[in-house]
Amino acid sequence: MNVLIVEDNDDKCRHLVDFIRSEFIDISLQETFSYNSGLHAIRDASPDVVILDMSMSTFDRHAGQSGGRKRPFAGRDIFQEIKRLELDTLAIVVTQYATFGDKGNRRSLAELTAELDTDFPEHHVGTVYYHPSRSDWRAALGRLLRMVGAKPQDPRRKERS
Amino acid sequence: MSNQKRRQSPQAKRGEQAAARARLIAAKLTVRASSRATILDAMRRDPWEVHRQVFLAVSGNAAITANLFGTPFPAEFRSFSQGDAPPSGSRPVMALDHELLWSLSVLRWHVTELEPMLTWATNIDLHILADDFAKASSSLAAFHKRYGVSLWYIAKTLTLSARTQSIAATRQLTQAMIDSASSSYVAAFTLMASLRADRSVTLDVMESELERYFAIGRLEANSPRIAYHLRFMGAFDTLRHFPDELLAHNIAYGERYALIDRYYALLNTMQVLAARAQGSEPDWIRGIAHRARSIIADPGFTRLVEILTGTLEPDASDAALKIAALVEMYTIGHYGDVAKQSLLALRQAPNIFEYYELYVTAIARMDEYSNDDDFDSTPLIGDMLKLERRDTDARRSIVALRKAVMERSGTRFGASLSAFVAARSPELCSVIPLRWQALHATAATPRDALAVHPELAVPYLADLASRPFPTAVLLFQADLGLRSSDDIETLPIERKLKHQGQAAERTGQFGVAISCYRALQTAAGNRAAIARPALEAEYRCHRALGQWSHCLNIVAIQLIEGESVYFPSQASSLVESVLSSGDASLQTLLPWPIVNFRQLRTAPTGRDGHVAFAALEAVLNAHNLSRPHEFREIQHKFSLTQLIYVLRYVCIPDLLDWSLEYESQDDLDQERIAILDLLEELDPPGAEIYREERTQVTRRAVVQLGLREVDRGKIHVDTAGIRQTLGETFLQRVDRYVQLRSLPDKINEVFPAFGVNSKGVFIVTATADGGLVADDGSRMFASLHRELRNRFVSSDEHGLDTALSLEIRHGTLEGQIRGAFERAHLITRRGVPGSPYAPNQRWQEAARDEPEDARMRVDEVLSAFSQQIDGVIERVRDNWLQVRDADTKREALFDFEFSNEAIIAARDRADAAVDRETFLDAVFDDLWQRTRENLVRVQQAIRNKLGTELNQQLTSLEANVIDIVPTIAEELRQHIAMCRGELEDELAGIEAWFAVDESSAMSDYELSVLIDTAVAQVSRASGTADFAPVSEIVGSIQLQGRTFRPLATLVTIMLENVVRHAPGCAASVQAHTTGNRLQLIVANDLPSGVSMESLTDMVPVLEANARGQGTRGVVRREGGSGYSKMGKLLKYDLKRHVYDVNVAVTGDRKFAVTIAMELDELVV
Repeated sequence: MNVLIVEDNDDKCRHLVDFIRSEFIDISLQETFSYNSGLHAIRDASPDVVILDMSMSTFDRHAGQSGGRKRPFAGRDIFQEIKRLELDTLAIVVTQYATFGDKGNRRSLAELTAELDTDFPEHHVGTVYYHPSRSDWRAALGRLLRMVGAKPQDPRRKERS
Repeated sequence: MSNQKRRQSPQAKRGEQAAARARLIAAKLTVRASSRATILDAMRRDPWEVHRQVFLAVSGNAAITANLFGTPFPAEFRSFSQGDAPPSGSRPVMALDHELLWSLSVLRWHVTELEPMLTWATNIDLHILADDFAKASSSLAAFHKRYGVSLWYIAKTLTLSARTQSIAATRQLTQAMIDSASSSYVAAFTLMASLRADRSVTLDVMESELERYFAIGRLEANSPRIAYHLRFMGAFDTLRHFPDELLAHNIAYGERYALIDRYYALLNTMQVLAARAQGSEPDWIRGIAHRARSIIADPGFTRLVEILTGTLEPDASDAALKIAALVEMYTIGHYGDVAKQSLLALRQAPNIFEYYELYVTAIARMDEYSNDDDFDSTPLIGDMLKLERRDTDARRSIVALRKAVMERSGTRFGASLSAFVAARSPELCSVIPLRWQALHATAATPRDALAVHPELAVPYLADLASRPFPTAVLLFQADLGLRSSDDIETLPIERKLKHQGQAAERTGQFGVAISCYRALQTAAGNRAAIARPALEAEYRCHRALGQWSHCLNIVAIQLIEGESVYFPSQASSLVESVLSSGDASLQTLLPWPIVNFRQLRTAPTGRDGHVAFAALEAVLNAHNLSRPHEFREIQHKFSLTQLIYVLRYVCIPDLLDWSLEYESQDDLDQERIAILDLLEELDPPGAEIYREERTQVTRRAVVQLGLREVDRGKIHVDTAGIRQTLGETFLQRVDRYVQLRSLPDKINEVFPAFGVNSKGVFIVTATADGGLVADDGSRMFASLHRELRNRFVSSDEHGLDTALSLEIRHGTLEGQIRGAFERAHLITRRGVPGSPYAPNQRWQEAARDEPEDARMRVDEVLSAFSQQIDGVIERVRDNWLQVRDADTKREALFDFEFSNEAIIAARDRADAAVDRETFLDAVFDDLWQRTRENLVRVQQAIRNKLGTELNQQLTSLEANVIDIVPTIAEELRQHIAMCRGELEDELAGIEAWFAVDESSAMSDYELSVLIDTAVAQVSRASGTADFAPVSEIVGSIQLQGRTFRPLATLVTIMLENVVRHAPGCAASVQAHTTGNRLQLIVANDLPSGVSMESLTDMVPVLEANARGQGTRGVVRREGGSGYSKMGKLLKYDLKRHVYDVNVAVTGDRKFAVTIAMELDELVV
């Protein structure tokens, strides 16, 4: 299974990669770091599933280059383009924010999840609240990945779940 | 007798039954005092006839009448209303028609007082509308004496106070009234009345005040009836729906109030039922209206009956006749006469809205109106006129007019004005404007035919035919399709066309209607009041026919022209219609992105630019364009105006950045510049605007480039400078070594015995033939290498350690890391090392409801966290980012210790050297290679070790704070998550510093770029986003790109000192050029805690440091070394042999540093 991680936080990205590698087999992982590079990869590589951060910059930051406009809803922005471009992609949002946007445009994670479910039912698999010092995100992400067909390392465990 | 009874009419029979029932109830009320409330509740549901008979029977019993009628004329505030319990708690609320009838029964009982009271009240309103406040005040005082207090009285008192007294006085009066009120409801309505009386209160403000004072949102969720009552009685204009159930409760709640308030609540309820937009009026309303009119001869009920039943009462009043004459004149197009006469009329009767409307509509339809004496320029008229003409700022007039409505709330004038605005603005209205205005009209006019039920319209107009506006009656008959307006000879062409269009539209002949409306637009000429509504009507017809390309075109043109009232509100629904039409070709038209773009402005909050971007993409794709500037090649295919609009407003970086076409922000900026170039060609009148934007984009891009240049150049060693400082002795040693290494291979074969033993020690072997030893070359190389290495690393003037100190360790690193935490409000600063950190106000405020002890502990945790973060930064700065010294700097990541193997390898790499220069090249290459290896270690440490440590600190902080104050958990987590994100960016930025990149991309630049970059760098590094010193640039010069980094660093150090030593103080930065001389001046106010004397004493030291007279090695240290670093930059990086540094402390507590230098070899 081809999994694309669109995530601009190295630490979080590392945790996600470690988790996926330790829990699943036959996974090919690709990482991108912004709205733009993530969308490029989705369009060009057609991953089976995308693990998507919600707040990112527009472009990759590299060699001192500015990342362009910060997008508080970069994940949702990517969903909008997936839908517009009629791409056949599933995506799981993994975010460490409980609320998004600024005054007048603020939404809780639950509200955003409901919005994604409504607006992108063909693409949105689910949303996971990530916290570096907690482990419940692993179970939630694992469950969603299994839902989209990722093969767990231990088949017996898969059966139990 | 029985036969007589059998012959009795049903009406008489009902009367007899009612009388019997009334006698029974009256008897019960008298005898069973304890269950009086229950008896009354039952009685309220009885037929209307019973009520009056009961009232008659018990009228002598004060206790019962008090129960029945409350206090119709309460003398004082404290006797007004009956406490705080909502009436719904004291009796069951009946169906709306029963509540209305009951209320009417009570009013009927008091009808003899009611009629004069209403006339009196109307006159007071008239005085207020005429700005005759003295008369209004005295009349109101007399009214108070006669009828006591009421909500109406409170409102008028506060209105008069707001007109005649200061705001403070009105507030005092409001407070006094609130203090006197015995009921919180009365207090609430008093507050709301004072808000309405304030002329600056818009509907939005009123809404926010309702939220502020009453938490109306929560109240609506928890107690919808009470919330509705508050809105109905105190903020009627904020209501959007009129459900029967809540209206019934409102009437029931109103029983506590004075008679006049109950009257207005009843009338208002009947009027909204007759005009509410949510559905047709209930069947029973006509019966109640007739009853009301039969007992109260009030214009409100008269109009209600006329509009509901389509029947007219005779009206020969002066006002009716005057209005009729004006309407007739208006119909036949005598606009000038209408304007003159209606102006006279409105001055005599400023409470009659019709005069204002006729005046405004007539003026708006005249080709020109130049008689200034006859022109009324009051703000109200001015705003009505702007709205009628749909001026570009009509949107602002709507806001002003709605304020005026609020001020006049509760009057017929206010209601009519409200309908006037609603009929011309496209927002959904809670009532049907035409009907609402007809219900509040002073007199019947033919226009009412459009407000009454369609089946009643024809007889209604027939009834009006005898009144003095025959042409107007004929015109509306034509409107109803009863005749052709062509037959009415006296009509001006625009009246004919308008009504022909309306008649055709009403009967579904949209094609005919469109022809009429187009002809009307032509006939209108420059009269926007005619042309604009005609265009709106044409648009409506195209919509009805599903002609979406016409609709798109009309809306796009109007949006471009700035029409601000009608068409902006059409954008959203038009987009929906086009999408659901399934016609993809519509989405390739240029109006499509225009309408979508505009939709963003009227869409609910939270909509992003995706729709506008997607619309633009659709057009680009349809024309095989990759980027908008490519429109240049096919510009002839489009309307020039539309193309300019799209390029100017839609093709902006914030929308284009949705596209995958662009690889970076630079790429986007370049595209915007290309678009601006095209715009300048297409739209020469706007050239100045486009040039200005291009300057801004370029400047922003250059500042970004400058920041990148500064970041990229942080790791630098001036090897050219080192070469220049090498002594001749050293260079001769190099020559000797090169010669040695160039000896034939044979010799090397003879003396191969140099090398390293197992302990890493050079093996030295004596030679046989005079002088040379086999490892002399190696020893010589090691010595030369070591000396060059020392200069490469530690030269004060040119070395790496100086660069590390100057560019990274000196404040920049600290600022960059701290910035992420400061922006999330997680750390604070302290004055000097060792002093306590400032309290964290952000979280003290968040935890304000917590006990003092808990807040103290939270602050201690946050203070300790600040210290931990500073500790981490210090360790990175003082231990990691140092040149390694095996004895004292074991953690240092810059390792320039070379083992023997490394020296041998270096020597081998230098073997190809043929002279001094190539030898030096080879050694410096080797040192750069080592530098690169060190930098990789640094990058890894930052990415892994530092990032992990800081993130762990955040995790601990979260646990520690939440443990003390769980209530702020969510807020804190949000800030910590934000900090983690920012930290990631900052660490990525820091990591990027540690790379060797000698390719300078900086082109020649202007002084403004230098100053802007330095300010941006300090803002970025200090976490002080609002750091904005006043900047001034005198003279225009172009500096060489190579000077950018040292000059930018110089100004940055000067500005960093301001942020560090005078935070929050006013500051300025100036760059002056005169002839060949450049002056850089940074000045700031001094904080109150700074001692002037101590600072003055330091001036000579600072100046000496900047002249390079400080202690050797100081430029490689941090803390108190800024001026020495400035000296280094001037002397060595910029190679200024002569320069001045002047530090000034003045008596007015200002501090200024001036650096002056010649510009030789710096400028282009």
